[in-house]
Amino acid sequence: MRDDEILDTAIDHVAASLTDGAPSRGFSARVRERIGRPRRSRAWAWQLAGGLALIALVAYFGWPEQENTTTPTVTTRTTTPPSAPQSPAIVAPRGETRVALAERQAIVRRARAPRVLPRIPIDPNAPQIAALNEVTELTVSVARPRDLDLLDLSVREVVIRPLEPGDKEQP
Amino acid sequence: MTAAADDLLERARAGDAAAFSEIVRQYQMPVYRAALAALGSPADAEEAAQDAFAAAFRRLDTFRGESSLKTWLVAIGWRKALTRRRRLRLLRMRATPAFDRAEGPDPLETVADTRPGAHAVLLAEDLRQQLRRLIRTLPAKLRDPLLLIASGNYSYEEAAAILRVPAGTAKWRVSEARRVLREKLRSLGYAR
Repeated sequence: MRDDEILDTAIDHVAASLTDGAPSRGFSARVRERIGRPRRSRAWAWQLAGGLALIALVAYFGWPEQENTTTPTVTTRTTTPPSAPQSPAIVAPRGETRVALAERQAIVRRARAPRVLPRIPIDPNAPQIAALNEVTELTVSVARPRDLDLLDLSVREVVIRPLEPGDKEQP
Repeated sequence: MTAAADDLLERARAGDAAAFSEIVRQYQMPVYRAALAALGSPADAEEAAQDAFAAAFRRLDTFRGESSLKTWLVAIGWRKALTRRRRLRLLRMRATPAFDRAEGPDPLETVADTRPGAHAVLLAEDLRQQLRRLIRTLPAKLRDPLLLIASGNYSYEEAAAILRVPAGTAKWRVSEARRVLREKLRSLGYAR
């Protein structure tokens, strides 16, 4: 016999010896007894799992707010897109609700919209403009409201520059 | 299945306790030995086998005869044993499977010096103990099919059905288990 065969025989022999045995006497009776026994209820496990899931949800999303707000949350969200720029100046005063903050953010965003800018009076006879034949764009920077009460924006400076390659004409 | 076995099964399905007891009597040995292969402890194996028969009794309606009743019952026993093994491991009640503890008496105590062939007997016993130890160190993926097949002389197809793996996989795992064991034995000087 080759070595491999001898070793395989030994392996099989030992493996079989490891699983050799028989159930003790009365096995069948104990099975019958087990069958007759009511099954363990697993209701407690489901309750525990449900409780843990609830705790995890609350930990993740936070406890629902209990304050009375006159503005529905849905309305507020529609006026404040998630991509709206968040100015560091916009900070909710202490004790203010999230809804109120979102409303103010929406107001500030509307106030900053570029469409408020064309009303800036420009003198066509000004020497800078006369020197530029093709002025197509006015870049206006406005004072950012440092406080939410400063919503009446004021123009600080007007920059006039000639058309450059890559610029797009605005209507 | 034979007509008698079919009849037994039908009666058990109808709730005949005596018929199911007869099924238990007929198949308790393979179910128990498969559980022993997975758990190594006779006490744990018996618990798992009892669990398996209790579960089988409740699920008799689901047996559709795709495999033999024996394979179906052993597969349930195997699952129960694995579940028990996992639980035991989680509880850290045992550091190693219990079959590894059943080492038997020290060979030095059982072999008389004056007996002829004592050295050969001692060597064989030593090999047996080394093999037990080496089988214990095998990963479960290799050890389980090796011991399961040894527990009941199952074919690879039967073992695959019980282990829920393709037959080729079961065959490869047993072959790999043997190869690993042979190499380890060689490294210990048991063969060239």
